[in-house]
Amino acid sequence: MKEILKLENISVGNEEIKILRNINFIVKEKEIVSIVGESGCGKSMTLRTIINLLPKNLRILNGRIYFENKEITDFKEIEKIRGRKIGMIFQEPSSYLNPLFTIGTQIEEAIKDQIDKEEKRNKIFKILKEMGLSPNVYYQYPHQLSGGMQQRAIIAMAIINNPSLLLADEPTTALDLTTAFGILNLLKNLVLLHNLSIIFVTHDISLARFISNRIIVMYAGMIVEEGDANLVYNNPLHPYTEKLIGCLPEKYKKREKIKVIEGDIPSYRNLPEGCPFYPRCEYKMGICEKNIPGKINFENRIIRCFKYGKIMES
Amino acid sequence: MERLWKVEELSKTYEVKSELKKEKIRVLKNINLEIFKGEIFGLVGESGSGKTTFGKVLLRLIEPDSGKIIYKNIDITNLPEKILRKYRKNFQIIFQDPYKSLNPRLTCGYTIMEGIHEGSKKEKIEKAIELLNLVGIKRENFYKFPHQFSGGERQRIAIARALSTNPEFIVCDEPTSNLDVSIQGQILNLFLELKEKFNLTYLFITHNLKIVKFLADRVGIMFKGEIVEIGKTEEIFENPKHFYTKKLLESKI
Repeated sequence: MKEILKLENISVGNEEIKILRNINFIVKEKEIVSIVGESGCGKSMTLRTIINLLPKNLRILNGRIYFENKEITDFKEIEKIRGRKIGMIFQEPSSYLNPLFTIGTQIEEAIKDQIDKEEKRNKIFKILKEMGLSPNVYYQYPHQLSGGMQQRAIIAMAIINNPSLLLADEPTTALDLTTAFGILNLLKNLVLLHNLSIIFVTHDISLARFISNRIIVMYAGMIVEEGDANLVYNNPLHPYTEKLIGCLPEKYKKREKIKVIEGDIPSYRNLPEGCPFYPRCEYKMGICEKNIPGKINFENRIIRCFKYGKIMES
Repeated sequence: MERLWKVEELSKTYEVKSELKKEKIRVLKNINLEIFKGEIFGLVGESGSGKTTFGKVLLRLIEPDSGKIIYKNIDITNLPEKILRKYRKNFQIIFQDPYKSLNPRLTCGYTIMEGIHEGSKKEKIEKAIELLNLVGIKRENFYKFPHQFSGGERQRIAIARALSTNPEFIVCDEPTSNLDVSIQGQILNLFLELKEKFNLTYLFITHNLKIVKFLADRVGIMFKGEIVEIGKTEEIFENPKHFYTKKLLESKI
């Protein structure tokens, strides 16, 4: 299958801190990849790195990003494809819609092709229908729509230029489960209809399993586990993944005590010298304290943990 | 089992004014419900189904239009606020968004001391520290302000504040839906611990069926302002009768 996006040894930060460390992954055509982790693990930062929308004080320190086999690490290159070939949707739909304009106007604004007004209108009505919205929505303002409908309008905007990659940053967190279910199914359908690939960021690993082909688990700016979604969910190998799944209430009998992850995410100014998960890990060994584990291929998965082999990060 | 709450034919209508017309929206339609002492009652529904309004009307934070609210054996529906205040300390509420529900100008310790009415100042401080300890906030954080805490910690403070009046009943209005899954586990544990310790009764409002299945003894399913199904959690999950309950159970992630 064709590679859509490839991140090669990406590190992000500045002189003082490193937010992302040696991120490597590939997104293939028609694939949904989820990035999972607690708040502050660098999930959203990874998305922002891809489209070069990093905060002012951070920059890409080293590594390369390729989009459809073309390098886009450079700011000028990404300018050309952001919004055209790469779309993005966010967590809180209401804050990304302008309250003063109708949905139709706002989707029209997003169209980059030079086509006449009538064609634009037809295109928008077509996409609204595809999103499961009524044509009336064209003339409505954001406050007249529910959260789920707003999110659908945002998705319409993100894919109106037929992108090949959609970045979704917790698009269902602000919605309740039935609405979220609808949105997730919509995204799944879009993959088939539009030859789309999706990177889906979430903190809920059960959601990730539901929607994606592959799961990437991040911790403190590093990828600690990557593999097939069902495999990772049903048989987590990295201690952190195991813990993440272990705090889901559906994994327990009624009112059984939930095993939570003790401690907090380390601050980026003060990262442990060795494995970042070392202070919270149940299986910690002497080697973990001073050395950062390297990538290991183990049971169809990429994993960073000394439990599965003593390979160190160079 | 002792009955704590009984709600009869409770209704509430909001009036919405748009440019040309006044519209009436019936948020609660003839709700009948009983909550027993010591149980966790889960109220499930999607956004806009009226579940939050019900929680607020029950505690008379919003006045109902018609119907009866009976707390133990007292009809509190039309009780004047002055008399109701005597009972208010027995029921508390924890809101969804801990970023909005804590006063940004009060320190964490003072937030909790506000609810404690007995004893000297020193005793109040002691009691507040004890409560904070109970919810897992360390004593050195007593003089910190809400913005210095994370979302999970703020929700813990909100829980400590709810406990400060020694309540026997707490409305938990989606207390974990703004939190990470890992923090959600901690807060659920805390709710269960406190329930045992203080013999609390919860009305747990949520849209998350997994949490309801994990926590609740009985469940009420709300749909467009009505309770369409009510019963023991296991029975409803195994054998849903109403079409909406079935739809809810189907959207399983």
